[in-house]
Amino acid sequence: MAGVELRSVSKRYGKFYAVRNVSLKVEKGEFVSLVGPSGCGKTTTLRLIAGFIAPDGGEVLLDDVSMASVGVRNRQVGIVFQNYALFPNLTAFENVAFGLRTRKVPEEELRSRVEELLAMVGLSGRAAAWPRELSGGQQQRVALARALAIRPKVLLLDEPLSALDAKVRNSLRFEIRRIQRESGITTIYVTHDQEEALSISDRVALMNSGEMEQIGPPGEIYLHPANRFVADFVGVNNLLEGEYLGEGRFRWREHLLSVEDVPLEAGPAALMIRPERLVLAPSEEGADNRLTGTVTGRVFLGPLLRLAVDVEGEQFLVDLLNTETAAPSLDDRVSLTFSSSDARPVGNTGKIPG
Amino acid sequence: MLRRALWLSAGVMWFTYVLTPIALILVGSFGEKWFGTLLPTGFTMKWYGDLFSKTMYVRAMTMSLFIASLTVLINGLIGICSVYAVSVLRVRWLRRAFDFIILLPIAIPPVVMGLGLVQAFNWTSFSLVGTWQLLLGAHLVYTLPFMLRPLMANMEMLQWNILEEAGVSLGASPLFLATKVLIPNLIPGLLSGAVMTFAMSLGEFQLAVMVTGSSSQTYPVVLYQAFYVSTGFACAATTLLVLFSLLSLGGVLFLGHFFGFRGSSLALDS
Repeated sequence: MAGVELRSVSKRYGKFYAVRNVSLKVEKGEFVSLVGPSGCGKTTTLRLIAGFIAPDGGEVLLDDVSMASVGVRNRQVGIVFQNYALFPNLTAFENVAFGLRTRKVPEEELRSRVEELLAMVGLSGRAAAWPRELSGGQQQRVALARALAIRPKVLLLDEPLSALDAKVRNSLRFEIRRIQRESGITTIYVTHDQEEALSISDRVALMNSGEMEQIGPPGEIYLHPANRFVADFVGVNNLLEGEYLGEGRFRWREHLLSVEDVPLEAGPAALMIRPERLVLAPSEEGADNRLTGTVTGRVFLGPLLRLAVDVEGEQFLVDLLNTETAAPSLDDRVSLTFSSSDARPVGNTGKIPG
Repeated sequence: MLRRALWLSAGVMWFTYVLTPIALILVGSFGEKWFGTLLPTGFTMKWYGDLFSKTMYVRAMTMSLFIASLTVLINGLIGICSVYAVSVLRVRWLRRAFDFIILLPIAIPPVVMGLGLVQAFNWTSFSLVGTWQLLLGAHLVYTLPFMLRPLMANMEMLQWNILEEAGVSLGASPLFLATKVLIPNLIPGLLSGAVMTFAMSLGEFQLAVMVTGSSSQTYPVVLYQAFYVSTGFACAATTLLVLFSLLSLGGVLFLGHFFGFRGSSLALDS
């Protein structure tokens, strides 16, 4: 059974498609992130699911029931907004209780439910606090409890961590995931931060210009991007413009490289090599997949040392584990090598639906 | 140094132009005689006795309080409905039009408005001139901008669109949202609007003098006539008006405190 299903949903503003022909099936209890650059249609998709806007084409289903004639109020969706949207005139307790009050839940049941939720988000002691007395992170926890109070069919989070500072963002990220697991609620999480999406989702749906580019588990998205957009958007990458010759061969300038054999038509393509998959080669090794260049930059990233290497005018990023062994310094000549399975040709088009 | 000098001169001006006249009037209202001297001589309470024994003044004060209260009440309702409509419709030109419309009464002098009202509603068969209803209407239009300004600022700070979406997604009906979220959150704006409109209506003279008749005279109109009676009497009558203004201001502030509006830190400067 699908918790949320989009069937070729489109939303148009004039001639501009905010969302075009998007299909997505989210299993019950699954955590799916919608990711993409701003203006890619991820928030519009979320609002279509919530029912704030109606699709121009296609259909939205919650628990396998079409929502075509069901308004926001009766959809039973829990929404968490970027700027918390707590009611400033109500205490934390009353904010959480809001959805229960609209449903006329008996006082005793309401009280125990709200207390249980506040405990779940770790705010038991702050029930009487006004929103303005709470930190941003605490406000967002209250907002999360408020959204969960109505036992929604689906929890929709619209960039819930964007307004918070880095430290809170990281801890709350995993807390959201923990709470989601505990309550077993179907969740759709909108973010522009691909790292955030990769770190907490069961599956990631990548959007661009209103269309779905690829849907898959984080590892899949990271290692096997469907096209150049995905390869470029997710993580840090080296993308070489060249020509795919078929059968795992790729031409970049004068170099004939042996790469992953992918079902991609021969022709102009980009070759994607993750910085951590590039290896500094001892100079006497064989000539297969070997590029020589000069170190032009060194960036200290804590556990990693990132080198910029200039190879025939093209800049390569190379990540080395920051161990104590001597790393090349600026202006050193180095040889880079990689195994064919770590180099993946990607085309301009091609999508992998979920 | 310059800052200090500026503060000092502001203080002196406030003292000279605001506090001194009020203080003199207060002193004068207890003075037996005030003629040719800097300060009045003798002490008496008789002016106040005179004031409360004259039904014209008591009735005018009642009328003034009645008109001012109704003005606040109706303008509060109009205000809430209008800022809600403007925020919900989200039409830009409507907002601009709205801004213009609410500024119009400020741009037009009350005398012009009063003349217009007398001309427009004075027919031989049926005349509204002289009725309190016409004055109420005039005061509503005249004071509405001062109710709307703080309400609009309040509404903007509230980010109502998002709060409304949150509320609706939690299953709230429009009525539930209005009574449990919108109005409680508009109380700061409503209070500052109420203080302004009440004070303006209570002390308004130009419209009142043109539009009212003997049965609907408001306090400022009769107060103006009091200066032809005697200085002491006029001072007592003026003191009463100041007293009522301050009392109503304090009352509104007390109400605000009583309703316990602590939930929001909305500061209203505009």
